[in-house]
Amino acid sequence: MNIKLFDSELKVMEVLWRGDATAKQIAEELKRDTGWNVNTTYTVIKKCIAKGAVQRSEPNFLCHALIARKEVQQAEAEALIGKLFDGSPELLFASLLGSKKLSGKQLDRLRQMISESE
Amino acid sequence: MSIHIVQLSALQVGLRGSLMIAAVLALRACFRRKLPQRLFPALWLLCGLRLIMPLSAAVSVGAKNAGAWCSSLASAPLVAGGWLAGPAVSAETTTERAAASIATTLAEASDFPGEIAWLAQLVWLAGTVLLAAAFISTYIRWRRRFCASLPFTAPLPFIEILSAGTASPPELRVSDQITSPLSFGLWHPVILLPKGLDRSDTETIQYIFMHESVHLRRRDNIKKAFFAAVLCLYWYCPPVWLMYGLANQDLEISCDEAVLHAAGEDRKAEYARALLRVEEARHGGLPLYSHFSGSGMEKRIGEIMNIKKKSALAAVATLLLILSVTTVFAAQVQVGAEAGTYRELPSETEFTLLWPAATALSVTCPFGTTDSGVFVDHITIGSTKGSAQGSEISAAADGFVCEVGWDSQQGNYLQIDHANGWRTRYTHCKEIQVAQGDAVACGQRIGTVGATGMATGPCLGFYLFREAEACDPELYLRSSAE
Repeated sequence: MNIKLFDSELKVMEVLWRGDATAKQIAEELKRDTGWNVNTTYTVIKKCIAKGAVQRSEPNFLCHALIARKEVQQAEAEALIGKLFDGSPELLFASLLGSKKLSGKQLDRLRQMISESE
Repeated sequence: MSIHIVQLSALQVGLRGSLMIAAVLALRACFRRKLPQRLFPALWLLCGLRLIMPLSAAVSVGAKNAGAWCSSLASAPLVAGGWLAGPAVSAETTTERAAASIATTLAEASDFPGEIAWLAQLVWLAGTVLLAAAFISTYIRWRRRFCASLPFTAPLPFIEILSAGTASPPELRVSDQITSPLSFGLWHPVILLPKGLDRSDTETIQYIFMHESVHLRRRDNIKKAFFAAVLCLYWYCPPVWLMYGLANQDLEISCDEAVLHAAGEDRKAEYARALLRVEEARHGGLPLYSHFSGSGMEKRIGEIMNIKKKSALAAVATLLLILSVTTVFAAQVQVGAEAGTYRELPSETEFTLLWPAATALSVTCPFGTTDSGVFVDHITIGSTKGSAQGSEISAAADGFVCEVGWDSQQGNYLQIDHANGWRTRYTHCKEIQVAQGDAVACGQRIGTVGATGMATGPCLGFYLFREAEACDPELYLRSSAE
């Protein structure tokens, strides 16, 4: 079974591959490692649970990795954009580029345009 | 509770806002390349304020001058306007009032009958709530993803070079959930880089850092949120959508300009190429797709290559433009207020009535206990010479027609709700020329005098109620000289 994970989710998995841990322990470790606050870590853990990569058991929100490292694939950022009711980030954040990608041809033409106007 | 009523014209607010947007559009089309790019986001902000302001300005100015405007109400022509009866004005409720005013205004704009007006308000509210929900959920989702980003690991000297000269340099972080660099955070600013970006390409990263730092310094995220909020309120207005799109575009170009001013104009080709490298990094090792239009980027590169240091003259022109636009903008609010566009009805103590019938008519039976000991809860207006039959009945104050009916006693009658608990009733009418739910302005013709119901001759029964209590209308009548 292959599961697509983002780097943030991979960070949580890395902790769990070293052994089961409670959410609190994960949060403490990742605070040191990545600077995340507790809420951020919990959100990411929940995402891992939703994707089926982590199993949660009581007490203490004990987390257990359900998948091995070799089963993980890199999730793609594009998959996040353009869903209905889930607008792209540049609507509200100062983003360098818009969400529309350029083709290779268009990139070449723009390069040429720059050279011509230099 | 003191209730204020603001009456404003949908056409006027919409038109003025749209006119201002059109003016900025024209200016932008003609002098885009001659003027500093920074001007345009500033002008869009003024447009946005213009759209939000009339409501709050009316409220604050109105509260002060309520009394002074009463007199002008009598002579003011009927404006196709809307009504709003809301809670007492306080800072917290201003926004809600603004929102509600727009709703009412929208509904009243085309003189819809009551139920349709109500429906239009509902549609407006639904649209606003939906759009706002879409924006807020987008914000929350992305913000969460950004928070789960990883620290940017680069050689320390490099980071020091980047943040040189900034008091509290933004933090650099990396995320694999974004494809374009971006910045966020007011108190703890963060510049987020996409994972695919080549970390050894210090030149590109430096330009990204400069660009996003300008956004952070200028608080462009707040401006973006403001434009989104204006759009939520005016979603039914196409020029506002146009403004929203262009304002966001102009924020970027203006930021590009600032970067090039700082880096030196001879670097513009270098900067443009860096942007293209960021664009290219998005594709990673994947084959390039070609189904997206890239005209936005093409325009932007064109603009960047055209950025020039503007002359002192252009700077002066910019200053003058902003000043004049601001003045016109302020003047409109004021003129609007003086012309009675933003009308404030008298508050409960200052409630006044306009004589509701032809000036030739007079009170034939006053309010109060008659000689025979009967209490009369209204005044009768009739004619002492000639017949009053068919003469005009006009609304004694601004309000909503809340009841139109007939009964054997009062004949054809109607009742107008003036808010604050004030109501007037007009009985024995020959004809009634308004419908239930209609907004009526003070002095507007609402029907004609007749002798329907229990009446000995053509006359108008005129009632004034405060909540359920009958009051003597004559105590509230304005002298005709005013």
